[in-house]
Amino acid sequence: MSSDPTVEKIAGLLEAVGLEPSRDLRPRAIAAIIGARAAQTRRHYRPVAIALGAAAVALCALGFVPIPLGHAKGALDRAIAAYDGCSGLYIRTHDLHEGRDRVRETWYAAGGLERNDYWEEGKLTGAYVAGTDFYAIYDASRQEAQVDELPPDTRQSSDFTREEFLALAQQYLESTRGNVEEWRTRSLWGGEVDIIDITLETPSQGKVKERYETDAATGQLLSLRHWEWDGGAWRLTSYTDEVAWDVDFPSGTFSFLPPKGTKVTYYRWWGDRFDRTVAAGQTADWRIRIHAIDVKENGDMLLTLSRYPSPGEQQPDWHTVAVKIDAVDNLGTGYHDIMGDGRFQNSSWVAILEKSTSTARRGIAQTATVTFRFSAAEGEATEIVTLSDLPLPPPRADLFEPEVVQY
Amino acid sequence: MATKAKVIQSEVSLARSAGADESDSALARGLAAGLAWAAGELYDRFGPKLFVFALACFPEDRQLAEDIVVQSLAHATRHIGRYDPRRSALITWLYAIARQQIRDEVRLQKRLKSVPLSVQTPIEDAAAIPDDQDLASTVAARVDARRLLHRLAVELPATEFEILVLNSIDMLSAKEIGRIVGRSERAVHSLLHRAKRKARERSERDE
Repeated sequence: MSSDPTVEKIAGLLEAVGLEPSRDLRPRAIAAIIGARAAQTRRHYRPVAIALGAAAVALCALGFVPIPLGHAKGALDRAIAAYDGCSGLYIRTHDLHEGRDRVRETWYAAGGLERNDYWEEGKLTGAYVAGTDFYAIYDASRQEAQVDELPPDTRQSSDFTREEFLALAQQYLESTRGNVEEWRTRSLWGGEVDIIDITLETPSQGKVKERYETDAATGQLLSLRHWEWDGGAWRLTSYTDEVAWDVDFPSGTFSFLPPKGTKVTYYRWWGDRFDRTVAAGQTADWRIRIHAIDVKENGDMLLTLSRYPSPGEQQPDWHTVAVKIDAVDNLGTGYHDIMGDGRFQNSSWVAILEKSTSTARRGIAQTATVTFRFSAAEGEATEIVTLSDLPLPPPRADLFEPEVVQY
Repeated sequence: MATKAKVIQSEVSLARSAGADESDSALARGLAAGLAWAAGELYDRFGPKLFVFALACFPEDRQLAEDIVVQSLAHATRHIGRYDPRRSALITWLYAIARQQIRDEVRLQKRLKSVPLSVQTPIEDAAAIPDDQDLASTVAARVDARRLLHRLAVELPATEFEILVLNSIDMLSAKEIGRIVGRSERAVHSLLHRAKRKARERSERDE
């Protein structure tokens, strides 16, 4: 394939992982392909276009049609800026898919709070809630939910709504490479409205078009529509029919109360680990704290820890420079951090230290200790923290088990 | 319908000898027409390739890699009307779809899982190893390869890793890879160079 040794190495790794899929994959894939084709509904855009045309004629006659006022430079920037200082945002969206109209109600609030309720034919089909210290996904048809709680001191403190929107806008701007059209209209009843048309082509979705309508004075979003190119015409795939700004949400909006009959799986893997301190150490620039040491059945070690950006800092920081972790126990077995230097850049609170090949065997009654060495991966290469002779617990099979509650 | 199916199928056979583009075009038409043979053809030609791509991104979860293949092929079939054989080979388009599915999955996992997947996923599928192979050494090599791939996937920026994998598993040009990852041909060259350098450095550190 290639004489490049790196490429050959990657190809070799893939081969070693096992390139053959299971025997089930072919029939599964074929069934899905046939099912996908069968589920295709007839194209409705022609009658929709006729209906829209008739509606446009009627609206023209009534004087509702907006009059173009020309270019609205900076409308997208104003729309993004409008999210600054927004205390609460409510959006109701209709997703049109395979002839069905699914309604999504979304509530956003500062501090990273978000709730999405999904409805179909007037019935709640599911929900997604991002609260102050958890994420919950609820599936009404299965009467099941999954709640991922966040460990203490790791909760979102930023304005997630704004950041998400900014990231999305940035993504659009990058991918459109200038395919943004901004223009202003005035209508008899709607006042001055800026229209932002974004057209882009993605390899997976083909040609798509978004239209944002924003208040020309405040930049606040009024409506959003999304089309996909369907081989011959633009097909509307989603639209909003209600957008409300600075809403005071009722208490409980961003909490999750499982309905009766729901089976909820809670992921609280840390248990009381973050309340404990097994050992701590610091350099001139940063501090490290080990909360717990666990050992899996296969001998690998799981290390729950926090890193603080400065010795006096009380809030752990998971996005600072990387830290390397090495460990060796009193029998001479080494442990290697499989996540490598990427640890803190990937927001993990648990280091997985794989046991190196060793002839040493631990007896059940034999006490063991372990010594850790933490060193900054870059920039602070001379700074090392060594935590010695910490007790190594016996291996356990039931680590990090989720808790299941039937309501 | 039977005659139509026959005509398109014979087009596929002819196109195979003529070149990939015609073959892709005929297969796309077969899928658009809902012809049953096209489903098998689509999987046989592209399913295993997509599986390797997905597996490279999730080396510790073969089931998830298979799910991504199924989702990608189903998605491609639903949207086959958007495929334009004049602009890209079918495999390029399918890789792009699989890449999107993989990215969605990565996002979901990052959002939902505080504990890394490698903690939760046990070593599996030893039963799939043929009898004539040394089970212990094959399992050890597999575990080692998984770990190395996982490490690369974590350490390299997502796009660099994808480009490196696509370059390693298929004879795709920089232009084709660019179409898949949404970058220019020049950018692909540059990113590939960077990814190779990082992979080499990581490998040297390990050794």
